[in-house]
Amino acid sequence: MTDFVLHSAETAAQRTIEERAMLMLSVRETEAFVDAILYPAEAGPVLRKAGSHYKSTTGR
Amino acid sequence: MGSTAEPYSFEPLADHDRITFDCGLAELNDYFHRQAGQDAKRKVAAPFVMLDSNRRVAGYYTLSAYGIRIAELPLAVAKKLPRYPQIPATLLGRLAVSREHQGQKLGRLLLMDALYRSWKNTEEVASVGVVAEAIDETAVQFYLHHEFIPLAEHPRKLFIAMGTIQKAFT
Repeated sequence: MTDFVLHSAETAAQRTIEERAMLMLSVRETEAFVDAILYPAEAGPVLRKAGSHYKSTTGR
Repeated sequence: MGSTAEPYSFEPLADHDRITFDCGLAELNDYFHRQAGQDAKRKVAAPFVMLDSNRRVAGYYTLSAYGIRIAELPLAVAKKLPRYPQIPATLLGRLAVSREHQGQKLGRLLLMDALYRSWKNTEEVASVGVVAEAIDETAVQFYLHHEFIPLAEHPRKLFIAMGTIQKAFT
């Protein structure tokens, strides 16, 4: 009984970790995602400014 | 802007004082108080802290390895992608700034450290981009403002491609 409870808790925890570690995309999401990684957008003004602020702040 | 040296620094979470941290959101506080140390030890997630000039925790974020499963694609597109069951990515699971440090655009600084670290890490571990998990609608807007794209069926998850991150730093 104890073993079973422990085992169930373990598999539940394992499942939670697996769910957290993986994302399944729909067809519509896949299109947007694939487009983003194959043709990465230029960094726009906000991101560019944040990047240069970060670099000057941290000296990287 | 002042000419004083920037007081903030970034480090992996170690024996920093966690218990007094308060960002105003119970879930992000609880995680940092109770779970972050264990996650770091067990390598489930890597928490990083931003320290002020007194070495107090001004903010934190977590990174972990993430896999993305895509839907079936038309063959022409599928050919351009590596044929892995999961595409490797990076999860930015949590990001929080302490109340006393809010209103100074430190969320932006934290985010940029997370993106910079994720990008640098691709020299050793493959990742096509960063998925941010937004805690609430304000966080969703924060990531959209910083040029993440929304995922239609996952309203609290947003994505930015590694190629775009790289362009922010080069």
